[in-house]
Amino acid sequence: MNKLNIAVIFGSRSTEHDVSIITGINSIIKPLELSGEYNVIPVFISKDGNWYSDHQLKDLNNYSSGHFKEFLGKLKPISLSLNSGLKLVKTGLKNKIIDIDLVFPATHGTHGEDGELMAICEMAGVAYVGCDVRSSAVAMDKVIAKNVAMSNNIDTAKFVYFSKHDFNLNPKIALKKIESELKLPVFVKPAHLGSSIGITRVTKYEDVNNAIEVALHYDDKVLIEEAVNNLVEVTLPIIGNEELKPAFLEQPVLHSEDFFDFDTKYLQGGKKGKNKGSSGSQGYSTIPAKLPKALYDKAEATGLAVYRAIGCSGIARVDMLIDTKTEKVYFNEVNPLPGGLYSHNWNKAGINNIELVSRLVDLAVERFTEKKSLETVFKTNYLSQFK
Amino acid sequence: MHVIVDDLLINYQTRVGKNSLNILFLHGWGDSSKGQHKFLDSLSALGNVIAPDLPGFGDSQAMSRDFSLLDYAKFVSSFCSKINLKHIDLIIGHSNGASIAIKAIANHELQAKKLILIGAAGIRGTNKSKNSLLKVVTKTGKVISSPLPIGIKSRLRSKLYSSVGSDMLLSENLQETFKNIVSEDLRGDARKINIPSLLIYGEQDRSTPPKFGMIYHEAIQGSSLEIIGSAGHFVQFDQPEITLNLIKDFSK
Repeated sequence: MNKLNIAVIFGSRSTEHDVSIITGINSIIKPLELSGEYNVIPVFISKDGNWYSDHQLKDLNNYSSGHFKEFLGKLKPISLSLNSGLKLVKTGLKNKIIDIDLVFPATHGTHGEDGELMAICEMAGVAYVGCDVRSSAVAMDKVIAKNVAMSNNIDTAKFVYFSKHDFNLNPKIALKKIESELKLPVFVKPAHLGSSIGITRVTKYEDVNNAIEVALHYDDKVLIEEAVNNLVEVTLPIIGNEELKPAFLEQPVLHSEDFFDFDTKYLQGGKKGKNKGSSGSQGYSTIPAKLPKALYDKAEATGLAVYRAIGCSGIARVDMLIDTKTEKVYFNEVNPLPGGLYSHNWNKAGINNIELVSRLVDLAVERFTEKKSLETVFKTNYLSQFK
Repeated sequence: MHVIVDDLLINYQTRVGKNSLNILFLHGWGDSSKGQHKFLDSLSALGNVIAPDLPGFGDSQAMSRDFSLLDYAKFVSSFCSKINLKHIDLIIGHSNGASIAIKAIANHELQAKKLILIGAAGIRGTNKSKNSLLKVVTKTGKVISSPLPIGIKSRLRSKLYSSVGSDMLLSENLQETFKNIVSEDLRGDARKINIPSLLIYGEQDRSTPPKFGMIYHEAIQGSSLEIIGSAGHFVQFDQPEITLNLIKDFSK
């Protein structure tokens, strides 16, 4: 049997471009290759939106050498063909065409995780790993995701939101609304970004305006939400289409007044303050979260309910906030493509990196096969009336 | 923390001090507030510390056009307004940050009660032979290396500039701004400063030698000059206690 040609797509025009390179190479390409089951084709999207495919793009050293620009300058961008499946086209004296059987997206944030990449796969009619177009788009808009959760009787922290246009039209009215509806402290977040980019914790109303400006520097929609008291933050990675498998509830180790900004999450090994860890983004949490059993079960059930409500498939990670005093679990946000696939958590749950990517490939094929059985063409005599 | 200033995303650090003295710290070329975090910690013994990453450095966004020192001075003024910093008791500038402070005070972009300049740059023309030699070498090098691949060419260039102690390639995308800055002599601006000023230089500083301190000492009326032994360009790191004590005494 021929091996599947899997295109791992990473990078892209996103504030999480660099995180995506690590996810793509370390968490997806390496285990796929180690499995020996697939032909792995790296596809890198540069920050300016050009697509490249070359075996050298699998080597992380090329990105961190300090001469990446020169390295990339020597490669020729590829083009895509969406006719009868997805094909990578390398132009030259004789065009080289690579047929892609399955896409493994490794893009975080905008122009990738938000459904755009999935839409290309749908149009080409190629199988792809992870959440589909609709659930990715819903998950990547924190406001819409909260509204979907609320309509499914899942609690979320109290929030208000504004589009860039509405806020700029009358900032004073917007700020008044925040002051009258939300109690301090509040978190101000860009509605569509992950990895804690552009998030500010605000403790004085007079600082809200600056924090909104920062969020709107990255995004066209801003979310302002009340902080949860007696906070324990947990996150739950889940895989599956219809039948779901949760990993462990994971609890970041942080003080109640802190939150994980980009620097803490990815650059300091997850530890605030002077005693920085050296274990990377996986070194900052307790797995499984230390919670009373009833509360653990409640949070896990909430995570699974959110996954279903949003319509996720393949893989996602649901973040939740717990008020340990009231034992109330609040949905915070969904990551349709968790950084590094959260493989550290899956490893603890008994699934190694090779098994994880193989299962995700199987889930993608399963969903693709099911979808193919649906009728998409409807025969009518509609055009005959225009004879 | 982040804030938007003149449409740029600017990162800054603060330290809450033991008293209400407001200290604004401006870092040097290629540096950032993070690079000075230990010094900022120590300054918090004296007051509240505010330290922005200047545009193009640290975690702050780079500006879309080339800056002059006056542009940087204006930026710092806008930054202070943005974070609602109503009064500054003490400005401490290091290296190019000190040049920005001189420019800002002289041109009324910032107002402060006192000024401390550590290893202040901004004195030009004291090493004419070295600069002329550098010009000849870089121009010749450009011609000779033109057929080489870009990667090798840029490595050779970096080696050349660092071997002569130039900071131009520390921030490659700010080369034109760097050229603007190093072409400006601040002696005229220094003469306009009329607030108590303390100049601190490292005896072994090769980038901004004590000679610069003497020139500024002469230009800034009533200023004090301290040359610290066993210290280079980063006096605050080489002699932290001596530096902090000098700042403490001066800020009283």
